[in-house]
Amino acid sequence: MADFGNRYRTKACLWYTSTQHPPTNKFAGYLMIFNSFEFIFLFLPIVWAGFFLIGKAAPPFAKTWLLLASLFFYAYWNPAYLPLIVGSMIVNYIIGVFLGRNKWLPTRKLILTVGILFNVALLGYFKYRDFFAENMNLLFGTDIELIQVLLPLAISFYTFQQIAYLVDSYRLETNEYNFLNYGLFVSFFPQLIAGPIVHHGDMMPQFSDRKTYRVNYENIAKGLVIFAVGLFKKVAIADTFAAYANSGYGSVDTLTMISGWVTSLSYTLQLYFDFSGYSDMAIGLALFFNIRLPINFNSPYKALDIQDFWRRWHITLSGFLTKYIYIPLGGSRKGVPRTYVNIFIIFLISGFWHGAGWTFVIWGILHGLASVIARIWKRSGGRLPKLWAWAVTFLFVHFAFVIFRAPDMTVAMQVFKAMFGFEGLHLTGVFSVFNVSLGTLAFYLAIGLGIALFAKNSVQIMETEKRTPLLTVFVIMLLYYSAMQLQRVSEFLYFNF
Amino acid sequence: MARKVILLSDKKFSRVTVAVFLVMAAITAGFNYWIDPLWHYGHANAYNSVQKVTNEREQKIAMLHYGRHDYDTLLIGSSRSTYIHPSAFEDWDVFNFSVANMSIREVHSIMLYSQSQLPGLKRYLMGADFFKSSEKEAGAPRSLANYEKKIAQPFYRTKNLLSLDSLDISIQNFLNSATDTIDEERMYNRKGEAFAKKLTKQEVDESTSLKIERFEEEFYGSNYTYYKDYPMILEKIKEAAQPGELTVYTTPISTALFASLVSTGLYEDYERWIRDLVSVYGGVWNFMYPNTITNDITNYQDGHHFYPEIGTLIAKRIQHPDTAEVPADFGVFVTADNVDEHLQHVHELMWEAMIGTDGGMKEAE
Repeated sequence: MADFGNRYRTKACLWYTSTQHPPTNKFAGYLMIFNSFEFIFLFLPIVWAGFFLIGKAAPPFAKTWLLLASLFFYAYWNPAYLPLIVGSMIVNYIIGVFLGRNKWLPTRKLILTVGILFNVALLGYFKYRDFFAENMNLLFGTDIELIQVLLPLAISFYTFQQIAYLVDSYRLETNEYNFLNYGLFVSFFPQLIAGPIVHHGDMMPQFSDRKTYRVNYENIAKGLVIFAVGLFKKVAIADTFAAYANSGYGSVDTLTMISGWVTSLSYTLQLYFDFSGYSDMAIGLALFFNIRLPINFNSPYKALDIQDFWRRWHITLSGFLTKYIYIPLGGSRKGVPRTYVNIFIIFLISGFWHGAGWTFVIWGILHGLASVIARIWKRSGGRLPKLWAWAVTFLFVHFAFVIFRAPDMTVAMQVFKAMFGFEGLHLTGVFSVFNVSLGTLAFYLAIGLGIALFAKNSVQIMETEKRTPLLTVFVIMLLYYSAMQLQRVSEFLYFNF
Repeated sequence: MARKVILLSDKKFSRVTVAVFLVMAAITAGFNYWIDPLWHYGHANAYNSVQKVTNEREQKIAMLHYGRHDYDTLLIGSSRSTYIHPSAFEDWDVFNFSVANMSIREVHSIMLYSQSQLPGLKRYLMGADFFKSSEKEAGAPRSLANYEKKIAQPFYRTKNLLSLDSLDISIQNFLNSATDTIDEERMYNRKGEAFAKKLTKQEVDESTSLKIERFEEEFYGSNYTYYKDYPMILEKIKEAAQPGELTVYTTPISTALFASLVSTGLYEDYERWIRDLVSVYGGVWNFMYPNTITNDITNYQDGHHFYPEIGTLIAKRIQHPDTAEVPADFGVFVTADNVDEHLQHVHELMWEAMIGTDGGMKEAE
């Protein structure tokens, strides 16, 4: 979710930048998202068929094919940034191999520091430079020029993944030195732009395994199920709620209590279905190539406390932050107060990682505080009835997402004021904001919440549902409906004027 | 006894799922291609002869881009002009680029785009609407640029074949074509000719009264201020037509709606508009005043949009000024020489027409 925090706010989908920057040529400049014609009907079948055809004869060439395809997938968005990701991969690989092979060199720590600084500098320059410059200008009246550079796609993901590789190389936990495997670990297209955040230790051995290059119908069947569910979550559910959330946030001045709640709930549902849908698609796509990606969501809105929530939401990010920040900081080994500080720090970093803006920082701080309070509460033996525990957790997450989505705190406060009744409770006017009746909105929100709270999640469906004819029909219908929604025909409203 | 559950192997499940999905997608695409609801391919058959309008700008720009490129005449106007059939013009090969709610500010971009697509273009016909000369309607910049970008997207046509939205329109077009039914305000045939649902006299009276009400609320009276840069926009259009020949006409609204225009105090603005058109273009075909056609409300769907038969009369009058096939009082070519006389005549006709109407009485008082 890192790179698209700002995009979620405005367009509520991670590929927003593709519409902000005009293409440099007819076939480039658009992000080839999974729910696009280009991806489903052209890129995927060609790459898949090529992979197994080549893999039959020579796996290393299939690996090369997959790496080139992944780089093409990245470059399709903006070829100018291809050298950046390739350069980053080469530098990190060289440093990683050097650290892994030179166990006794006294300068290892220095080299690791240089490597981490390289990644942090890259991320800092592209993602945070303008944020710092703006705040410096505001605080000290300086006139630091903003670079207003387009954020390279996926930079937060591939930077984190490669920092982990460097650290593990320093710890002598890496033992595989093959650039093709490394390149695929970083750039494998299913996980490249929106995660899950993958670990080299999980990924690189899979690319080395010869079995990966042979068609495996079990993986294809599982992949089809989870890809279909993810595509439907994104196209049919998330995009529906995105329209309501965008309408609400686009007219915060007119929101009242009812429309305020519709807006915030729509966003909470949109975010879950969008992000988890995209993760599901990534897992399914990877399975088509016999690669297992880690699960990233496990029904997070069923969580009964905030720690539980973070064990279910963006699981791979939590895993990364725990392993590479929380534990090195001391984790829970240095006493209770220090544990709380460490927890707070990782959530602060998490907030900042999601986007270069104060609302993200505040969102992270709120989750940090909530996590600390939840631990104190538990340590003191506090318990809530299950329903209350769920309600408190869900409402907290929901309120925090209001800030996450808002472009600034002023807008967030406007939404809160409306939600808490300071702008009146008006049943009328809902249609003018959302262009849909209140009854329809209530119905959709109930369905969305019902699915998020009571239905099996996509991974459970994939793992437990037997391949019955009914499941076959279900998957076909999801695929067909979603794929046929990729191109919408917009009708002109002012017809006879 | 427990029912036996049939289980598919992973291989069969995968193959069946992919195969059925592809077949369904292919059927969808095939049906959409056959009906062609977005006008991308141009073929005609008995089941796509009636076409719904989704977005005329997108449909017509696609038609121009993917279709024939040998038209010699371009007709531009708003929704009223859509009802003038290209086939109404003898010998001229007309592409009608009239679209709903067209602003005068859009005409220039339509001309430039059409010129890029039609190398043999030598003639332009432009329908001018009085209510589109206000600050509100002409003030904001408009262009076709977004549509140009849209149809230039990679795989634009193929993507629209694989679409449930397209399929929905295809099915409606199929049913309308199979039964030869025109049941909407505007539906097209494959030649780009628009038709309208035929209404009864009572329905026309009702829709006219609603239209007048809406015009008085949205466009006429205090909502109208003549846009000061309107003549400059007309000049720009004139320049864009060079070296081609440009003919401008005014769209004939019903006398009932004209009376509403007058009763809300806009007659002077109407005169100014006619004079500006004459001044910039040297001459304009004026159809917008009380005459045999505009006095008969059954020539209209709503007092504002005439039926295609009237569009044909406009075409005939423009092409053959002396034709006897058109009522003699329908259409006057107004130039600097006769503009005063013509407007005086319109003024008289207007009072004649308004005597007895509420609007006329109010104005007379």
